[in-house]
Amino acid sequence: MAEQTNKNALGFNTWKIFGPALTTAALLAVLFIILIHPMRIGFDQAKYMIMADMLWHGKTLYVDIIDLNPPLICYISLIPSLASALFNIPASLAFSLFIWTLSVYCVCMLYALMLKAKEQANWLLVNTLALSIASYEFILVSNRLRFLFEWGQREHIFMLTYWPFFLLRFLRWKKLAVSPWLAILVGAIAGCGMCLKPYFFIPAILTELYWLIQSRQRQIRPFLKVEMATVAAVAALYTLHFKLLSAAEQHAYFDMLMPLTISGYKFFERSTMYLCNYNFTCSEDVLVHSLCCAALTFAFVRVEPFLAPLCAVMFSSYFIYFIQGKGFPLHLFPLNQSTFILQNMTLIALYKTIREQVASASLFQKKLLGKNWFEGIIAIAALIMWLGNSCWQDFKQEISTNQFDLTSIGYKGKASIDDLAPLAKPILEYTNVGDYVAIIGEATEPNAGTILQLRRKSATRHIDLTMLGPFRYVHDNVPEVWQKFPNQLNDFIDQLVQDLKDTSPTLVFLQNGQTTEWLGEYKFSQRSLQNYEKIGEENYFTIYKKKGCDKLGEMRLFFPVAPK
Amino acid sequence: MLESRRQSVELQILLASAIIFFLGTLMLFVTNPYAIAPETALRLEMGKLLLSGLRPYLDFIDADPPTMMFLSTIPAFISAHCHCDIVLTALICGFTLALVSAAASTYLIAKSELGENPFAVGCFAIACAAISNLFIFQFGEREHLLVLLSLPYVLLRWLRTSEIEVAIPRALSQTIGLAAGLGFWLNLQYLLIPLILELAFFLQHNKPAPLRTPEITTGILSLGLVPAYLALNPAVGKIFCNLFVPLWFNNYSFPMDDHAKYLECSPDLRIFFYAAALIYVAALALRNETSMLYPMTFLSLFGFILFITDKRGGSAQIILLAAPLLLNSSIIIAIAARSISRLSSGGIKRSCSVVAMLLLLISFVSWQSWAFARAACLKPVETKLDPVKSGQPSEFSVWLNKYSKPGDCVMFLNDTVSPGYPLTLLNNRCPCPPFLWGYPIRLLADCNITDKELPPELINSPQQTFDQTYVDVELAKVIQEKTPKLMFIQQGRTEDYLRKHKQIELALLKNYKPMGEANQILLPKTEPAYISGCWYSFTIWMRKD
Repeated sequence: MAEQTNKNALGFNTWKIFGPALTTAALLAVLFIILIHPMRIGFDQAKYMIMADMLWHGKTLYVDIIDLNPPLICYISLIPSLASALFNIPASLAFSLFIWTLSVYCVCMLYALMLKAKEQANWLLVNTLALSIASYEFILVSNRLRFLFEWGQREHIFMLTYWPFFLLRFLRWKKLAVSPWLAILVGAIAGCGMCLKPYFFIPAILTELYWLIQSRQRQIRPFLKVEMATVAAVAALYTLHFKLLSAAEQHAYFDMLMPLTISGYKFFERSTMYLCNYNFTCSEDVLVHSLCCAALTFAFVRVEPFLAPLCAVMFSSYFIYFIQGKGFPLHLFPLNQSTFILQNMTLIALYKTIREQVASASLFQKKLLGKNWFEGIIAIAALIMWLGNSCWQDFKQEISTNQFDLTSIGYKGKASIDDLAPLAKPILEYTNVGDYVAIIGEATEPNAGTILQLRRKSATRHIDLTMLGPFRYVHDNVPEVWQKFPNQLNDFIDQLVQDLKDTSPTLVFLQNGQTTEWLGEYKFSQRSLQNYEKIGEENYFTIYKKKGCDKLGEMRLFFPVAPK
Repeated sequence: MLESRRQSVELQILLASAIIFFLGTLMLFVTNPYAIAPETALRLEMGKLLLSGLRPYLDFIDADPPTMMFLSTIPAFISAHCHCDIVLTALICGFTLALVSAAASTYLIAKSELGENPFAVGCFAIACAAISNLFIFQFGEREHLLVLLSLPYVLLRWLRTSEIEVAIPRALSQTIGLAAGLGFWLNLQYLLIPLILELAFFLQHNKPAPLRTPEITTGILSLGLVPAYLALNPAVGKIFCNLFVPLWFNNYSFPMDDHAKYLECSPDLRIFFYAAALIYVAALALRNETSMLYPMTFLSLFGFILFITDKRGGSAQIILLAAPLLLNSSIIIAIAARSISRLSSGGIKRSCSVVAMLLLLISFVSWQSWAFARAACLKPVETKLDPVKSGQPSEFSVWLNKYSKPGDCVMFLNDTVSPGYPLTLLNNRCPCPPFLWGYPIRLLADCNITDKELPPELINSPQQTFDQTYVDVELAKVIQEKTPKLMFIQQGRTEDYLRKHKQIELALLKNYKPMGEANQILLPKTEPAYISGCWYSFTIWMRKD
């Protein structure tokens, strides 16, 4: 404690002004990128938006809408889904704005907590934390692939809800009082984030253990705080809500989907070496980077004790990544983000050390280095240049591509055609807004994205066939589980066939390769596509059109005036 | 008085437990004198070749600095002069080293600030013993030897930064430095360890640890031994520096084997990652209790980075990550034990002691049982089965026993040390220098070095030099001269690569005939580790006599 408080005054005035300004600039840059890409949304995220929309329309989860995941993410997606309907903005944009609002909440809460605990305000610390989070949001949105795979994923939502809780707990263990209403708000939102996946409780548990071991008194009092009670209450309510679900929902989820998921998700599991060296996510670089930051933490923790709990969060992200064991980019997100924050914090600690050493030399003490605004100006100039340049490059790229006329789907404005998910063209040509479309493929990509962006409806309760692989895995490898559900695969295909019969979509897209082979074993085509004719192939999907249906129009595009 | 006597009893019990751990290791070696790690067996073979007058890198290929083969000459020499089994001799030598290292390390801990805590000294001794016991099937591999040789050095350097004056016998310091210097030359990456350590001490204390100490002097001297050998043998030095070091770097930067993602999808070695995360956090939380946790954590983080960047995920490679963690966890347990012993009443203390001893006993017995069962599986198969008549893929040892006799030369060509070693050594077959194993065939195969039109960076590269000299000429010569009685060539890319050399293909078809297959993946005998390409069968080629 003593080692920290002496350093708190360092850079106080500079950071009190420049820090929030830089954070605001970063968040505004994020908003700018979101607004120029109104149609951009990840595939999983689109799926949950569709499910939320179906929930608004009275469908029943796990019965009329099938998914393997716990329901909380669908409930959370109800908010942007409602906003989209109320303000008539694209659902993808509503979702992005919702996540942006969450990041604004995150940084605002960090500042609010620090202001409330102003007797020990460490502005350098909170500004670095807030600015790191805001900058990381910008890194996410300015990289198209990371936007699609990570922005708005459950891990992302969790981290945005967790950081204020983390700071609050840090203050509690420092015995600093915080307004109970603020604590309840932070606790409730963090509780929602943690309930998204059970692994998300690990960072909170590990950091609490850290603080408990670190405090010499081994006291229990810091645990008895209102935010802890709120998190527990949210978790309890969420658990209890399952009891309130209809009997059909409970049966579908607990008696069928959950046991099959637990046994079948190994289908996607990969070896440890693969997880450590997956080229797509650069996991090797992330892991090595995190270990280097951990080493720096051990070296600089005497200068900045806040590094230690931050490092505990970073290490708890190892659990989140490796327990899930699939190597998906979203699973790496907490490790990626916490490493980025830890890296910035260690750099600040290094900066403090060097600055103290240099400032102790009398030559510089009262000259340049004594003026805190000098570092602030350099920092703000560098950040504004980076943000401005990235925004400008993105904007240039955006206006140089073909633009899709959003009025054709009932919205205002235009959007880059590059942001549309695959398969958009035939859907726009053959169907109207609100029509049913069946995209039958194993991956979430591109099914949900296309349907959500173009305002069509999923013709089947299975928005994607993600569970087909796990089901077959259980069928082939876990006979003791499969014997409890011997007809599951037949039922699955029957549901598909029945849905297509009920909704009679104009277009059916059937993914080539493994999906077609697997469905072929159950004579899917003969049972469902008798009334359809093949009109082409696109993006590894074969396109079937209902016989007798004609083209309704052309995809409306604007071309850039003077492409350079 | 009573307190100190009780502490002494606790220390004695814990030290006795450490000795039991060591005895468990010794028992396993004595009863299973074939349970030797593949790499250890390979270096032992190299040690034998060195004693017979062959020169490293020139007469037989190796990827690493020569330290380990030099160390292996000791058991090879003892075995040759005392006429005892070379494998058992090597295991006993390794065991002695482990014992000495543990004794020296525990002594240093006892002299440090932690010496006041009997739990710390005792638990640390147990942890030292547990390293060898836990990684018994990696015993004597590079990573294990590094830990044994460098642990006392790390502790001694840490003691030098301590605020309390500690008197360490000069001879001991010198020996520790000498051993560590050798250890750091076991692998090129390990040369970074002393630098990282000194940097860590500097950052931790804002001043460097004293450098004018006996261990630094002898450490630098022993670090100079390998360069001195290479300088005194210019032919060896030239080929090592100009060919093998660049090849090693190329091999290291090569991407992960794609097949590794399908290997063993169960949580496998991830348990070490979780343990690491927990112990690092605990070390951070207890940083004010003792500074000993720092150097061990740095060592472990370094081991973690090596494990990830190496991309092979072998179980031996986890030792450098896990061993310092084990030592740190022993100190963490000791701190907790001391807190309990100070705070609680007599009844609770007794219960905790009983529970702790029971846990220790159960973990030791269960691990030891597993190890003995595993070791029994490693015994080479002795059967009258004729693999040709059976028409099924058979064990490698079955092929060896049926179609060769002790003293015959055999050759394994694949990209890992196993299954060639320890089988060749255990069955008293002779290797065929220069290829004791298939290094660096995978690297050469993956960069398509045999293509007629090579990218500019591969022209005159070490890969091309190696391919044109060792493979195209030397290997072809070995096959033409019909040196090996049996050849085990792994199918897939190794065989494809070799067959692209016309000389080899012709010599092979002319002098050898395919007999059948041995399939590594079917064998439960290999130690659980990822072995790239392990599901490709091997074709067995027998000399046409």
